[in-house]
Amino acid sequence: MGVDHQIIDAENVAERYVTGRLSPDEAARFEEHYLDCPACCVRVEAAERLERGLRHMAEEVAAGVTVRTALPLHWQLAAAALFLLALLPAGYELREIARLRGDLARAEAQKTEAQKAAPQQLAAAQTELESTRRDLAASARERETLSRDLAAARRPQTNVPVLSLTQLRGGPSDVPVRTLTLPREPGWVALWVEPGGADFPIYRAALRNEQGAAVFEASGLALNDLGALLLTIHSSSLTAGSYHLDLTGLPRSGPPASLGRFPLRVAVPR
Amino acid sequence: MKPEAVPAWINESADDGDLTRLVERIRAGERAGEAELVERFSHGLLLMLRRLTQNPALADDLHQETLALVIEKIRRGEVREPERLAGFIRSTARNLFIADRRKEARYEPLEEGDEPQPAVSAVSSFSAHRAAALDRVLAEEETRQVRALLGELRYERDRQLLIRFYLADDSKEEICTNLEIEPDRFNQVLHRARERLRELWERSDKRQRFFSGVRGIVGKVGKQPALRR
Repeated sequence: MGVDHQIIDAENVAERYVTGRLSPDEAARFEEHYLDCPACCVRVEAAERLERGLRHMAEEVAAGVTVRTALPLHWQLAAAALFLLALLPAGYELREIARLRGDLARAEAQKTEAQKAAPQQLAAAQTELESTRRDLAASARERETLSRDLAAARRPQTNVPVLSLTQLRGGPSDVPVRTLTLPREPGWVALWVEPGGADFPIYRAALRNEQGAAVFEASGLALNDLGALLLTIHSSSLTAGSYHLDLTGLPRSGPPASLGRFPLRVAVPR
Repeated sequence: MKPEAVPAWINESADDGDLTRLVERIRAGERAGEAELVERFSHGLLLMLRRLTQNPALADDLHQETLALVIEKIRRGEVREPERLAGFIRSTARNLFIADRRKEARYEPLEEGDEPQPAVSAVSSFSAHRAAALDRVLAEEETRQVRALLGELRYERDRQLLIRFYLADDSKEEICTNLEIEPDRFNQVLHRARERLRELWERSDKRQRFFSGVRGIVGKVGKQPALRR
């Protein structure tokens, strides 16, 4: 039977054996072991010696025996020297204790500061959390709107308002004479543009509002079989007001040619 | 019944091959093997028997009987599990002790007024008296030493812990509660207290050996005849 003597020492097995604190099974195993183990025999004997000494001492105390030990002078001197020597580690321990107390005080101060700062940090975190929740809700709403628009866009487009734009001759070109009424529900609208006699391989168009800002720009446009350009714009990009469409012809070579300005008015249904 | 868990300090995987070889050697009639068995187990066996019997004379007798019987049984091939030789020796010793108690029990119940044989009584009384006197001297010496060492311990808790552990029947929990020791650390605290006492004990033993050596030298020198000039 192999054993671990470090565990025997650490768990006070010999002392528990001598004082009858091992279970019968463990005591039997320990006996089997120390029969063949001089080191454990020494452990058991030391424990027995201490137990016997203590027991006799207790018996003497119980019997009221007082023993005075008058030490010789040289022993007293030796004891005093030992006492002084014993004070050295005690001094070191006191310094160590003071250092540890300092560490403890610092740790407690840090803990208090952390506890004080905690409510503010919590409030800030809650505010941030609320803000994030609001952003999340807005994002969800936006996603919902986009999904709705996408679904609407995928539906077959019927009753699409179409506004025909032709360049008026003889009148002031900036005055809108055509009105595009937007549908009640967001949807597509179309502009039918006839550039007239000009014939270019491709065209470029820009729809601008009253302030001159482009709300729609398209390039690479080509005439259809009817000699017109068809531009579709989503109604959500338009508001009520005056607009004009600038049309430019792009020749195969040479500079672009301005083909004129097509005014229009956008109205919302009542 | 559920078997008890193997204690942490036992390593069951250890090789006990040397015991098997020892048994084989004795069985083969090798005297050196028998001497080795006695050498190996004698001390531990006597220690165990002294604890068991609480009677040094009886322990000595049983010690001899056990070793003789074990060797005889090995020779006859009656040891079936050589690797468990220590267990076999232990159980043999305990059985001999039980048999001795039974035998004693048959002799002991004397009628009131019966007296033992005078010759036996005188011899046993003399032996007992001598043994008791020796025990008393040893006990006094141990007591003096323990008292001195306990006084030398630096920590009061060590003193209290050792006294309560060795003397009182207090449970570990009671000791822990009274001395404010965390139960998980009980073994560790006891171990340290014991180690501190052991160190003091060893120092004390060395001191005693040193002074008895000095006394011996001084005594010899004092007895030498004066040198002639």
